[in-house]
Order: sequence, then structure tokens, then C-alpha cells
Amino acid sequence: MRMNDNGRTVLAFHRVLPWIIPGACLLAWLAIAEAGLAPAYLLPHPRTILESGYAYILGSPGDGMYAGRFLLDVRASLVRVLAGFAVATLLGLPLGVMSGRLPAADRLLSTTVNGIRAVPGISWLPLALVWFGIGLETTVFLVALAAFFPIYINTASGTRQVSLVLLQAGAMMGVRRLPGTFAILLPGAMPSIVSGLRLGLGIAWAYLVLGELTGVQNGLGAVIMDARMVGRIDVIIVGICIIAVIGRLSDQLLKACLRLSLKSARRTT
Amino acid sequence: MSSKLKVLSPRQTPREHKAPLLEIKDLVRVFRTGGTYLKALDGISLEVQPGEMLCVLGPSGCGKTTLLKVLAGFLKPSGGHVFLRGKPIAGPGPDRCVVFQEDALFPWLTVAENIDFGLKALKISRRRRRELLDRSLSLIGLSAFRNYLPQEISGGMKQRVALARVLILEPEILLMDEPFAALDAQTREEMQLLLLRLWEMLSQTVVFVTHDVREAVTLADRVVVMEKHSGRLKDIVDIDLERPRSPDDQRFLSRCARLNDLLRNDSIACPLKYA
Repeated sequence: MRMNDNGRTVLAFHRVLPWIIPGACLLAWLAIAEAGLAPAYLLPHPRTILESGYAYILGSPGDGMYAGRFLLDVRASLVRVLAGFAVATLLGLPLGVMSGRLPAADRLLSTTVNGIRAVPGISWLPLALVWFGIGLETTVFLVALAAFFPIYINTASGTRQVSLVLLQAGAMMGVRRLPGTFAILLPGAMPSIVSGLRLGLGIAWAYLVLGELTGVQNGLGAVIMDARMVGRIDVIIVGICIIAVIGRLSDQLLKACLRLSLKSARRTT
Repeated sequence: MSSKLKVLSPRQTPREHKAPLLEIKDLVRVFRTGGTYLKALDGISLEVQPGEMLCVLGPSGCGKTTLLKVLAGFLKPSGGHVFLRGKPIAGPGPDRCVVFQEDALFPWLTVAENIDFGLKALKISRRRRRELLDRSLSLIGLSAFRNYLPQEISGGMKQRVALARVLILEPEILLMDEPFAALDAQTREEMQLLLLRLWEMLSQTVVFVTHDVREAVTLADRVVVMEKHSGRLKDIVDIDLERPRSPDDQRFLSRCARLNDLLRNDSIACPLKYA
């Protein structure tokens, strides 16, 4: 940040910058709704959205169809996302490291992984439903499957690109292979690993909604699907906005956690 | 001068009867690129005495870095033997530490953490580690920079840290791979003086690879000159000048001239000479 006489203005400008596009969209939406250019069953007035959102998040159950369901839904969705993301991380990180450093492991894995990666996630949905039925398992399966690839691929390319000199330096200072993996390889690949995890978490939210469109009781995706059935487009938009906000928050939370707990994430990303 | 005739500099006379620290016998290293074989090292024989400062001088592509990598254990010999205190070298280890030419510090660790890195693998008390670290930081004059990251300090400072993190492990032999080549002339001179000071203080054995004739004459007890393409050893020249050496001194210049001659003759050397 520049520290001159204009420092304060520059700072304020940078604060405002991220909100310009959302603000403009909101204004355009408001204008369209006020002018009556789009019917309410296609694009409700922002006021309606605010009211529905308020009822959904803060209302007490019984006030309306969706009133007060927010906590229940968000808890259900968070459990599914975190479980799926955890499975993806537990598989993607070690397999990625192996692919990045061991040519044999890379040859063993890359054809299969890239083959599976070419299949759109949505085509797993029918199979997952047959295998796991409607519920937690299907969603977790889809989320884990989708989040695995960015984590695996970024970890593999990150560890592959760690400079040979750093590994040689470790070897000459008496660091053996397994400790070296944690002391040199993973920190050295940290920028890539962090991007992989962030992409993975992002895509986890996308596949969460897909997994919840199948008729589960609770969850943010379930609410959206349910609202479509009964024609409550305002609730669909509320759901979309909530997922956008929570997705963004969870990304920043992940980044903050990594930076807080890992030196290499703090200092090189 | 024959490479077999070993004339020790005055400094080493008392050590004359000691066994060599490092013994290289008929060392061969071959690289295969596509279908062709390249002999980077061909029949190198050499002894390094304890406490000696030995420079390996040669143009780029002569195999001097390959030699250093074999000594470090990063490369395996294709033929011949390398013994450290009579034991064959098997892989890299903290008894033979390298200062690399390029940036080899861990970018996610501070200056102090980089120097401390190798100590962690040793079983020594936290207090002792702290003492060693503080001493080491003051030796290289970077106590005030202990909490800086590598990206925040200059190239010369980075090489000081690279030197400190291996000296703290008290290696039997310090291997240096053109460590000052990327620095500006003034910083390079400072680093050479620092190295000489530490070398004298710690009586550290050093093998120093360089393509810079003046650097070799400034530092070395003996200079090993390598041939340009054959991977063979051309000559070993004693630099029997007392330290500190002044680069304006006539004797300094004459040693430089002699080494320059050796390097120049190279291009017209008859390959049959050593066959």
C-alpha cells in the first residue's frame, strides 16, 4: 500500500474496489424491478429477496414455509462439504506427493486419474444414487470425487517443481527422505498445495449443491431444489446468495488457517 | 609440472606425513545423452590434505562441477574411487557439505532458521543449538538479520547464510561450487576475505570450484587445472604466497599468468598427450 499524502485515499479506494461490481449489479437489478421490465416470477424485486432472506435466516419456524430453516440447512451442508473435502485431502495430498516425486507412481496413477477426471462429475450422480442411496454418502462421494482432482494435480505439480538444489541441500545436511518430505518437499510445494486446497474447497461447494439436488431433507442445495418445485424463486436466489457468501468465507477461513498453522504458507503464499 | 609431484605449501609442511583427508583415485564419470556418451571426468586422481584450501579451476563444461557433485555424493562415480579418511563415499552426508552457486536457502525459513536447519537432525540440546546459532550469526556478521527471510536480503548475505548453515555442522570437508560467481566484484572480494578468515579460524578443509583465475590465486594453497573437454586433470599449481595476498603484487600476477597460460594452451592441446 502506498504511504504518501494520498495514502488514505488509495487505501479507501482499494477497500471499495471489490464491491463495485456487486453494487452495480444490484443497482441494475433494482432498476429493472422498479421499472417493471421483468415479471416477478422470473426476477423478484430485491426487497422480496431481503424479506425472504431475513425470514429464512432469522425467522422462527412456523412463520412461513422456509422460515428459520437456515441453521439446520447450513449445518447439514457444512458437514457434507467438510467430510467430502477431508476425504479428498487425505487421498489427494499423499497421492499427489507420490506422483510428483516418484516417476513410477506417476506412471501408475496419471492415466487412471486423468481418465476419471475427464468424466463430468454429474454423470456420477445416477451411479452414486444406486450405490449409496439418497443422503449423506452420495453427497460426500460426489464432493470428495470432485475436490480430489485439483488437490492431487496441484500437489503433484508443486512437489515436482521443488528445486533439486533444495533437496540436495537437505540430503547433505543429513535430512533423510521421510523427514525431508515434511521439512523440505511440502513447504517447498506449499504455494501449489494451497491453491489446490482452495480450488478443491471451491469445487466442493459446487458439487454439494449437485449432491443435494437429489431429494435430501436438509441442506442449502435441498432448499434451492425444493423452492424450484413450489415456484419460490425468491428462495432460490436467497440460497444462491448464501452459498456465494459461505463459499467465499470458507475460502478465506481455509487460507487463514493454513497461514496461521504453517510457516511456509505464511511466508511464501 | 607433473601432477604426481606434490609440493606442499609452507603452511602444510607440518602435516606432510598425515594421511590425506580425501583421496580420489582414477575417477571416471560418464553421462549418457541420447545415444552418445560424454566423459565428464576421465581418470582424475587427486589427494586433499587436512586443512588445505584446494581450488579446482577450469572453463565451463570442463567437469569441475561434476567432480564436486561426486565428492558431495549427489552423483555416483562410473569408475574409480573416492575415499574420505579411507572410507568410500556413499551418498550425501553432513561430513561433506556444499555451498551451491545459486540460491539454495529454504525460502520459507528465516536466516536463523536456515542456519539452524541442519542442527535439528543432530541430537544436541536446545541450549547448545542456540549458542552455536548465535556464534555462527556473529561470525558471518548477520546477527541483526536473523529474522529476515532470504528474499529480503542481498545476494552476498544469502551466500553468507549458505556458508554458515554448513560450517555450523563442522563438516570434514567444505565443497564450494562457484559460490561467489553471481555476486558483484566488490561483494565477491568481501566474501573471499570472509572465507579465508573462517578457513583460518576453523582450520577447515575446502575444495573450491571456480572459473576465475584471480579468485583461485587469492584463495588457494594449490590449484587443480582441468582440461576443457576431456574431463582430465591438466596440472596442479602451488600458490606459495603468504596471506593476505595482494592482487597488485608481482608474484600474484605471475601466478595468474601461469594459470591463464594453462587454460589457454588447452584449446590447442594435443589430445594424444595424455592418451
